[in-house]
Amino acid sequence: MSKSDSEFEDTTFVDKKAVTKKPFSDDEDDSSDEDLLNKVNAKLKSLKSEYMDDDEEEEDEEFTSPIKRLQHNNDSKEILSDDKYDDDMQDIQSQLDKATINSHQSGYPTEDTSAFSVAFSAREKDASSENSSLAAKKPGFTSSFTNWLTGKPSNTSQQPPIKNGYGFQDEKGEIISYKLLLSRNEGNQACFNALDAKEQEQIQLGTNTLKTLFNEFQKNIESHGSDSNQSDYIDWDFWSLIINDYNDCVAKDPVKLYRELTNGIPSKLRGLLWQVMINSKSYGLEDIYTSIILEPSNHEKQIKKDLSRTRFVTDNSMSDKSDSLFNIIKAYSLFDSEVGYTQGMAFIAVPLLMNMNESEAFCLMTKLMKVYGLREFYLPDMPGLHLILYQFERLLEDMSPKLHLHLMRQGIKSSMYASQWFLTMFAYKFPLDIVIRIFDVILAEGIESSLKFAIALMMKNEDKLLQFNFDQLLEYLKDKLFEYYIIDDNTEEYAANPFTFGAGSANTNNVNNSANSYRVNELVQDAMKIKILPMTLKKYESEHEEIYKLEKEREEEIETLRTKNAQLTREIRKLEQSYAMLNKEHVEVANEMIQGKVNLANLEDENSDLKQEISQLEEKISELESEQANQLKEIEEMTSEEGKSGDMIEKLKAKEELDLDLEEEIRRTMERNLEVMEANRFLEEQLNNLDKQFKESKREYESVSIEHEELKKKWGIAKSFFSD
Amino acid sequence: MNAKSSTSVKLVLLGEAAVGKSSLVLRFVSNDFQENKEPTIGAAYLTQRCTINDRTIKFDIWDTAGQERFASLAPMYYRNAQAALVVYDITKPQSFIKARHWVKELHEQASKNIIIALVGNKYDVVENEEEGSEDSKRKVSIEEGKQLAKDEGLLFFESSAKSGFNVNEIFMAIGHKIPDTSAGAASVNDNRNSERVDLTVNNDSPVNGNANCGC
Repeated sequence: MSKSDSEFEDTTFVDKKAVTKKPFSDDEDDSSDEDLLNKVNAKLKSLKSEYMDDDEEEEDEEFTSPIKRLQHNNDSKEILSDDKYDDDMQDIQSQLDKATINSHQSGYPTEDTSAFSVAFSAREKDASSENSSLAAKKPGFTSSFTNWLTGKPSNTSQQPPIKNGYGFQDEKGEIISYKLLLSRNEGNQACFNALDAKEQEQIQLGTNTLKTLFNEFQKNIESHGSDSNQSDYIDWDFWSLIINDYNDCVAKDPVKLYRELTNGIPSKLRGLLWQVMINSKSYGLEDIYTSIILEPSNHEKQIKKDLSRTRFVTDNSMSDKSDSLFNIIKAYSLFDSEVGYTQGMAFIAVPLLMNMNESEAFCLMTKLMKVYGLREFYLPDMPGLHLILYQFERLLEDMSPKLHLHLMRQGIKSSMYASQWFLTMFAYKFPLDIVIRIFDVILAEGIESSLKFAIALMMKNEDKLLQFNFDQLLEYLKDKLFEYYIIDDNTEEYAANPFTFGAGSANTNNVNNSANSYRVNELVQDAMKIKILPMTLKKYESEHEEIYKLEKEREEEIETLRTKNAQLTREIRKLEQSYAMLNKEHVEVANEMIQGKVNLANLEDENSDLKQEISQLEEKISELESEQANQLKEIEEMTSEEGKSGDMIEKLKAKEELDLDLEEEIRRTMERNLEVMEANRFLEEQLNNLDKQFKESKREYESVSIEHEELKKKWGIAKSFFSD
Repeated sequence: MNAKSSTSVKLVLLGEAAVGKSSLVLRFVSNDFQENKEPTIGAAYLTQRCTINDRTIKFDIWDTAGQERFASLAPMYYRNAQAALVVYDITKPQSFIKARHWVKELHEQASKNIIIALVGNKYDVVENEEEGSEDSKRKVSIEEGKQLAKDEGLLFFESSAKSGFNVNEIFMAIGHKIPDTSAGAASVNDNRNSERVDLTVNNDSPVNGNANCGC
């Protein structure tokens, strides 16, 4: 382990050196070189850390000894600290030199210039020797590991076992990275198991039909005598294994499957095999299809329009299938109303229709959508597309930092050219025979494997792309990337490979709209060399989620700020309005005030005028008063004489009236007095009488009381008498 | 920006699917027309140079996909565009409604001084019709288009990519309105404004969907 890592470090040093050297030899300006260098270095560091992660994961799987892991960690730390802090330049230089030598010894393929594969193959070599030493120490390790990998007894001992997370290393030293294959099949299995028993049965029935068809087809071909045409050669043994138990084949011999996929599925078996691989043929779903196509869809008009204006459909061999194409797309828009219809879907349906009947193509398409996640590409907002574009950009960054940097500097984002690749699985601009082969891989490995093709195409065109500016890049990336594989020389013998199904047969039997032929096998082989781990994709997925989340938050923030701003603007406007009103009022008040002041001044003037008038008038009044006083005196004198006689008469008259009243009163009083005196006399008489009576009674009482005394005395005497 | 009198103009085409965006560009760039142009997936990029008043203007044209769900890709193209063509089909009222939405979105999201041209395409369809005839294929009147352009401060054209009518005129009119970058101070000022996130335009524009539409 430790040796492997230091070796790996060395190779990155080489690469750093190569990168640092190169710009200086170019005629670019220095500042940008420095910039480039920094970015590349940073990139290499991230790459490095990624490898470390991978190693760690493998350790979890393979070496459970904590001591080993500790040792590994220590080693990597040591190297890192060397890397960072060692100021002995000579030491670094010697390391660099050693690294250069090592990398030469490792003999990585020269046409593969990416930092990725350089680091990789160097590390790989070392890994195998590392493993053999481990195996020596730990007998049985190698064989058991191989068993785990291939599911076969270890009779493949001449093949070195794998030590990396990518897959299998074959006898030529090439890595076969089939992890996507495994994870896709696991996904398919999980989806199949999640279905209800009825649907599982329907799929089982469908698969059995496919098997029967396959067998009939095989018999048919064989009864016609063995076709000596090499391009029609079919490895019946292998493909019947696949059709009979695809899962088993994936589990037991992914390497063989991977190789066969790289060579292409025989075009005659393609339709059957695709359906078996994805578990799509289901009578239940086909029934749904036949009923659903009768229903109207509100996307119908647009689908028709788009199909009529899409080139491949109007062309020869697809023209008789254009109704089927319309039916499938329309049925899907009804089947998955959330997705409905998205431009580009037809490009997915065409390769399917070319290899199976209408209802089967529908089944396969729904599986691609739901199980493989293709529908995420077509949903409103296209989350799947955005994700894969991000993954693509990150992978490109990993595999060709130079190209990634160049594109970035030119202001080109992956969505500008690669959206159409992924939305149509390259069918939008790419020749159909290439697309069909891409579909072979996608059905086995999932939508993610389209990234392999994207990356491979980028890498192959790397040198060219690095020369281009913005405009040239866009044109080339969209329409011309695959031209790298054009067969421009007729003598070029692409049929030398006995497994040439795709290119050969596709060009003769299948639709090929362009006049050019392509080295399709080479393209697929190049793509299949690209190592992409599900784990790496997962990592980028979470990165993308994080970025997306942050962007969302930012957008939301902007949105809230915008609404806040709008609110504040409204408030400001209100305030401005009231301010304007106040201002107007203020002006009015000010005007009024000025008017008031003017008025005041006028009034003051008037006032002083009036005061003058008043004083004049007062003078006049006092004059008049004095005059009047004089006149009054005269008048008084005159009236006092006249008034005396008159007064007397008045008084006398009043006195007479008063006297008359008094007499009457006196008379009445006298009368009353007489009456009272009479009553008084009568009462006095009565009183005298009563007095007399009282005196008589008194006398009588005295006599009676004397008598009583006497009697009392007598009673006393009598009493004493009796008592005695 | 490389030559003294050469200006590069980033222009974006927006509008509902199948209104003729790609065809307008094809006419302008190649003076060509295809009856059944395939739907644009993602976006297409084309360039065309033309000379206006001794000034060479290079149009960097982003032709976007029209279908609604591709809209999530559109902001990247219009974000720092200096000009935009919002295209509708004069025989399709729905496309005019969509055009209003695009104008609104541009006002809200694009740079503040973006030059927008409203283009009613497919004029050839109604070219030989009598004006105001009952069974006219025209569904969006020229007045409606003019009114929207007036309300929103847009250039306005009715055009035909098929016949070529008014196509170059649209781009010329935009070219005339592009400030000369060598003019200096004024445009520098503008640029500074355009770099800011514009929060001010949200509720200002009176566009509200189908309120005034002609359906």
